[in-house]
Amino acid sequence: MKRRQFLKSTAVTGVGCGFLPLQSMWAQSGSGKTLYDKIWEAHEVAYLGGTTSVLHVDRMMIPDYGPRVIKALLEEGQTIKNPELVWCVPDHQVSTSPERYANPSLNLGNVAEEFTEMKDVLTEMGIRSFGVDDPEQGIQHVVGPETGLTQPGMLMVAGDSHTCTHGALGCVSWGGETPDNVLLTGTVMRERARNLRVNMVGSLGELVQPKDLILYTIGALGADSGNRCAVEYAGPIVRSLSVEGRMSLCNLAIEMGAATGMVAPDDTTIEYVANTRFRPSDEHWDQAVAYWQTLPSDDSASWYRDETLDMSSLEPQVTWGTSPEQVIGISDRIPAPDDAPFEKREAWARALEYTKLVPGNTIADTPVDEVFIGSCVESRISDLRVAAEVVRGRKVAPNVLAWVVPGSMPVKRQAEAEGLDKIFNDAGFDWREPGCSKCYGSNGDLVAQGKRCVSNSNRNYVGRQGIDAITHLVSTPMAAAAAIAGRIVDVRKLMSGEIA
Amino acid sequence: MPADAAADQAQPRRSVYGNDGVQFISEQGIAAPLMMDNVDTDVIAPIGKPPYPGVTPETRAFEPIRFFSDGTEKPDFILNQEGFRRASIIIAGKNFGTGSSRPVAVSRPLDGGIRVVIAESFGPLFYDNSIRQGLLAVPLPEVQIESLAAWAFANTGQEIKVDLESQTIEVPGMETIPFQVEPRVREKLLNGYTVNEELSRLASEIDAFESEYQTTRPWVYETSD
Ligand code: SF4
Repeated sequence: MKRRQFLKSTAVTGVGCGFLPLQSMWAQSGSGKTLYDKIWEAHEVAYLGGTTSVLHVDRMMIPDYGPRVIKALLEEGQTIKNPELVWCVPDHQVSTSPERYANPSLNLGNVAEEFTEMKDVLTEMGIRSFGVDDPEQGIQHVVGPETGLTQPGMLMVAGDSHTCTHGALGCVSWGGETPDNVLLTGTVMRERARNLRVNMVGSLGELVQPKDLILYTIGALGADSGNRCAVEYAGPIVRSLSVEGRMSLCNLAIEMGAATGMVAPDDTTIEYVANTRFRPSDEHWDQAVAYWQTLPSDDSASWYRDETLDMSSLEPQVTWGTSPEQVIGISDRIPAPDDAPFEKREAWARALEYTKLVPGNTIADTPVDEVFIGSCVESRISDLRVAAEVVRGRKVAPNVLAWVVPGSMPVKRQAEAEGLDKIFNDAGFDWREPGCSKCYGSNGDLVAQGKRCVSNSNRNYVGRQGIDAITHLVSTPMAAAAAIAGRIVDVRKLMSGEIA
Repeated sequence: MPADAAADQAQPRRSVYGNDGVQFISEQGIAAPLMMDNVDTDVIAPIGKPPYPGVTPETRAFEPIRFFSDGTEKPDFILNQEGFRRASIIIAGKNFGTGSSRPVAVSRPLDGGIRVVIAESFGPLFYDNSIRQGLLAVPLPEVQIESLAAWAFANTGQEIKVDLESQTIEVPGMETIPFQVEPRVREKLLNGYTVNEELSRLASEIDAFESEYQTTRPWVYETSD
């Protein structure tokens, strides 16, 4: 297994695991600043020693429990700081059944009722909320960029771990924040991360997706490679990606163990934001753009770690284990624990036991029970278009339960306007309402016990999609191809007619 | 191991995000080596799924690797082994707590009596949750983790002491191991501050920053149509 094919790699030696939280470790020789440094410093309210600072928050995003948390604080007599910077949308607990509008109790945790009940109060305070039946409802990491609530240069926080997705627009974003603290003070307290750059170079083959880039990166560098780092994805391949493609990269930054993931803003980003509902007003547009243009990392910036990965021979990736780093190419064979670096042998053996795969076999042709296309990684219109291209004129294999869950209401409407829903339905997919769904199952959409699911989501942990459920993470077209073939296949071969 | 006496007196702020404001001064207890890398939050604390039969709040941490789905114990899991059942300290490898921001990834181990995790590195969101909820996360280099783990296996039933005041780990028969956490983390835990108490003390700085920020970045505040 040639996992480490780096052209170039520099890393400060001896402190790779980041055990000494000393300022000196962060001190870097170059005079310039990185994207992360610039945004961090622009938001720094107070420095608390070590690497910790208090930072101003530009956007606080709260999912399902938003109205409940705000109501509780108001009842305590508290004042919400900067309510206009707060927004809420239910996603984890909403039902993905078309019945959910007529029957709000299908959504778990009373979430539909709570959004409805608090709607006027929130609106009056200036807090944006998109209830279950709102025309812009969706997964928070889809809704933020899509509405323009996410913008370059911002510091954006939330509770949810995949908040790093928003970094695709050139902002700093992270999850794990407790809403009360941010709601009451408008700030967060954090330790400053080190700068890790991942340069992606080479040229991408057909049907090789941003998801493959990031899965490969995690496999090559490791699920802990981003530890205490802010990772900036850079290089010609990243520059050529759409903002939606960049979101796939940043979404999985947390799966590298990184504090956040980012892509520097450029003309692609600015054009994307220009077409959103909450873009800066005409009055401030030029000022905002001028600021955004100062954000990209300086050439003279130095990096705690700088990696360059050549993606030229990359093929579609598939995870075989229970960590996103346990990933191989579609034509690779399932590795044996003995192939692992010594310290990973046990983990590989445990993973293989869980995923019930036989070392030495190809990952291709592994039979699948379920296919899930959705989640905040890739449930945007561009993803659904690619999936529909694969599915068009074909049928889902018998005995495979296949779902498409659009990331948001606007995505769903757009897909329906283009007739994509019909393509999926005709093929035998379930076309559902927006939400997190089987990515995690906290609305009850679970993979059946012990079943094998090919999924375009971001986590393949033990039990993530359901009890004893086995997850194979892949790109969106690879998931579509698995649904058609009823087994894991190379989507390129399906499209060329080499396999049926 | 009973919680630190001082912690019992502290008055944490309780919420769905776990208890904030729990004091941590030191912990003396048995250390259990869970020598795996990337122990993720879904393994530490599965959510959205009912507990396995017979699993209690005290034993639910690490449920999928601790029990079979019928609720019987997996014998090779460290906390199921005699000598480690009462452990209050976990020794782990790289990237402990990788994964999601769920507060229960910290509160379930706390409910099971775990007060300290010593690991090579931590998942960022677990780490922040641990600071908030008063579980001490101690980062140590690999060699020290390995010698600690070896000691723990060789000295089953003996206790070690993790002291935040002096930032040291005392292990019988070994040289004292120094560690370092952020000054802010140490102050928060030693005093049992809630995050809000910490931030409230900075209210005037926050206000001053805010008023200047509003004039330099007016578009940030434009969130109505
Ligand atoms: S889609 Fe999955 S990863 Fe994304 S926010 Fe929802 S549960 Fe989390």
